[in-house]
Amino acid sequence: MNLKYIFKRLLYMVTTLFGVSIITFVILRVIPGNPIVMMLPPQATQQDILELKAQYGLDKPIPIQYGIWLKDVVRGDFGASIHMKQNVMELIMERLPVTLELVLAATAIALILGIFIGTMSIMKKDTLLDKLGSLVAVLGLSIPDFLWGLLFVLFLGVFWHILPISGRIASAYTLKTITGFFLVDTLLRFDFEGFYSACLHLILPAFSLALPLTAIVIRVIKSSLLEVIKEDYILLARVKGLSERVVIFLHALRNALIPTITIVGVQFGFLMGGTVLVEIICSWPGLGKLAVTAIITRDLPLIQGVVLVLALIFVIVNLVVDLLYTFMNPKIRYG
Amino acid sequence: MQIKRFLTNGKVLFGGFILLLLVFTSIMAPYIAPHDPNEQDLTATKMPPFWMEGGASEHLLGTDSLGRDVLSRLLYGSRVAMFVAVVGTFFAGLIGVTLALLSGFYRGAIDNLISRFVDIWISFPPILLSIVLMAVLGTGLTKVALAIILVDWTRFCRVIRGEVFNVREKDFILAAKAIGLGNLRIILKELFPNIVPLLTVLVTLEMGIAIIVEAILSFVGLSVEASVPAWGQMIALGRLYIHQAWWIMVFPMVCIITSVLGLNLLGDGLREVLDPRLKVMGMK
Amino acid sequence: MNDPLLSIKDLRIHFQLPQGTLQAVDGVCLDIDKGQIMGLVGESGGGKSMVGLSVLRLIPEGGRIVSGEILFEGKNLLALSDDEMRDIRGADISMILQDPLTSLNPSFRIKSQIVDVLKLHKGYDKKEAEIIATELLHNIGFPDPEKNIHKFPHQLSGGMRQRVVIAIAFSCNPKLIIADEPTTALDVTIQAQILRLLKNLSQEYQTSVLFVTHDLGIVATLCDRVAVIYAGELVEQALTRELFTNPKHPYTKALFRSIPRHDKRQDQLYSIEGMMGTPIDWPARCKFYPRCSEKEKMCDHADFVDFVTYAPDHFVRCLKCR
Repeated sequence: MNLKYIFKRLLYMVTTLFGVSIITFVILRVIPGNPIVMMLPPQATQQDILELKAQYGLDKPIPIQYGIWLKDVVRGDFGASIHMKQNVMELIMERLPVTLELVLAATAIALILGIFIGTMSIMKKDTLLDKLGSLVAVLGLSIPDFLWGLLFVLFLGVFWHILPISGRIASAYTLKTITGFFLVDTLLRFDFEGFYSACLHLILPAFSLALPLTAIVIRVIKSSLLEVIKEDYILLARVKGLSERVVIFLHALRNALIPTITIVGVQFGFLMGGTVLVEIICSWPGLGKLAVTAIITRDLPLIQGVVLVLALIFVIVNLVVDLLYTFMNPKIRYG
Repeated sequence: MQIKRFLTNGKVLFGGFILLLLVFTSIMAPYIAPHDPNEQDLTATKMPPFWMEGGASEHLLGTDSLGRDVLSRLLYGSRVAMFVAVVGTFFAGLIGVTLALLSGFYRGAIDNLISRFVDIWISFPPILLSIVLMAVLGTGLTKVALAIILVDWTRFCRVIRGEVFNVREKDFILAAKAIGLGNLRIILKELFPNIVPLLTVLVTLEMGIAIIVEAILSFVGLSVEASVPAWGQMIALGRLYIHQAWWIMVFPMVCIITSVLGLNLLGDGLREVLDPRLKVMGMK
Repeated sequence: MNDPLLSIKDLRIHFQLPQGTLQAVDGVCLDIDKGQIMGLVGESGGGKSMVGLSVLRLIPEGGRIVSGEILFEGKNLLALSDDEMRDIRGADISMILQDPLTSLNPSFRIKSQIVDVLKLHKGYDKKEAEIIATELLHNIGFPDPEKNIHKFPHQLSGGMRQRVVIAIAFSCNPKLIIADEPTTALDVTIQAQILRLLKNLSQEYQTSVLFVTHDLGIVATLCDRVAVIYAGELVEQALTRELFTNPKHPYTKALFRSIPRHDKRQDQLYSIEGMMGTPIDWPARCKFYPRCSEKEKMCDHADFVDFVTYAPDHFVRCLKCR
């Protein structure tokens, strides 16, 4: 756990972000669709186009444009959205907690469900529970999140009206957001009905994202546990007379969790950038939806900003996961 | 003997059947589809499937909001799915495996360079990347395949690179080097055949992923042109009528789920068959 | 004479493999008295570990105990329920495994790994158990227990770890300990210490020990009685002194010959011809026949070789000893 390692990682992160931003920059300026043209009425003259182009700095050569952008970014200024007439940073910060709340909930669900099902599957091998677990695993991997979302909408919203299928909270609970996380904000106001409503609205999108991840967790837990169970210390735990439940859930799981957490952490990073469809289907005003809108309207600064932020989150999550791994493995921590 | 092991594995059989079914429908769609998929019949819009009230045998699975036959559109949609799955996976695999072989065999600077490049590429949220690429490339079937290739090659590269590292330490590689065989020859004749099992499994998985990515792109309207039937597109359109005519959305969903499920099971089954036999429990 | 503490009667353990039925243990009979250290000697794959594991009913998956009884203090362990068996494990019967690095859970500190047995079987609370554990470690020569008890296994040396494993085994004062090659993975210098420790503890607490090993040298110093096992069967059994001065079974004799000698110059190290192989669907006749250097014509024609009394308290499974 030395500084040299951390420094190397930070350097690595920065170069990655550079790479990402450069690639995005270049790709976007190569695109045929022109945001300027889309902003002006059809009668616009060539002169109008050139003027507007200059206003947004799009007439300069690409490396210079990048340099200017970079200079601003370092100061925290991501520019203004071409279409939404708002500061890019503001827009992103508005939407970030939305997506974050969703992904955190989904990850938590996937971990709890996945670890439980996976572990029970190993304990009660070849029983109904085990077969059920395998079924969930296979289905989870084969049905992508947005299809789960649509299935839930269909069965829980359309055929039977059990859950709300749109939005983050019932419109009755108007919010002055403090953190942006509805679950937290409602509790901070002691608004328990609002909290309940927020929870209900969270179920559908969170589970849609969670189920494919659950399948991954089940798979990893099962394979880790199978490896761990063969170890001598598990035999010794049984020799001591400990109950099977303690042997598996305490002794075996503790060691099987380490690789699981690393994989889940990485998936968390992927999930942050993959909420697009679920946000569209469930009308959640998150980063994904923002990104798609930006792309369709060729809103260059906004796309740039969102992609960079998502890449940053991804890279940070990877770093955290690595640190967590070293933290959880006593051999490395107490070397 | 080898073939028998494949044929007795349930997952391989089921998955293989699905794959063959897909291939069949994609090739035979123009011949077996009861209607032209784009033929609109505004007098018979949102007809339910034949077993429900209001349905007819003329449109077995009903019609959509423009009166187009759902079944025919599904059959034609399989062409898009298969094209994207086969072409996308093939070229993504080509790029990914080539780079992986080079990376794993030569190691050192080449490996570092390629790995860094892959790391940066992976930091792009894949869905957004494919959407951005489609926005850049424009709509169209080949563009979709291209987008999938550009997004998915990294997975091939990563996984195969790992396997190459495993295999390259094996004795027969060292023996080949000792004999003095040229590097290219070693890579192609000794190294590559040993990653084929893993590659096969990976290919089936990737095909499923390709189908899903196309569906996602269709959903946001950035896939094939509107005149080409595609499952994702059908779902996006069908979603608008989810209350009155749920089948428009549900049938293409079933198609996607079945296809991906079949491919995943095939991959699982292949992995089971191709993995070296578990050793007899060693008695101490 | 009191009844033996442990009495294994005609134990058979089979594994169903694609190639056939593996008879890992084929009719073993063994008695251990209170306070006695019994050695079980054989080469790898001979079934000795399996016998030890079967006493605790922890044979690996795929194995079946097809017949026999294991009487512990008069009760047949094979007839007990899982819960009853769990009460016995760790408390009345315990086990020491071979490799101390892998037998301790790498994610938990030493303290918790000793304390959990004490809490489970003796009902102590955390504080009491910690005190007892520290005391126990102190008694067996574990350096600086107060400090080291909070360490993780990988932070300790091999000898220290094995002492921990021994401490865990003895913590609830068991009546019988199964020691499965406990010194094989240790340095030679540490081996002697650990063996001495085991002997002292056994005498102090009057604990019986089933000492499984392939090393005859250890048997000589530690064990009161010895049983030699080959391909799942006992081929010879006697008091240690008797076995060492008067081995009768060709396999036993061959084992002695294989020990490199320090006193005489040897041109060639002796090794037993052939390999034991895996006892899958072997024919019913003398199992050692293919490798025996003293075989006679009658040995091939016999169906089954009995375990007979050669001399008082000296049993041999050989046709030539009738």
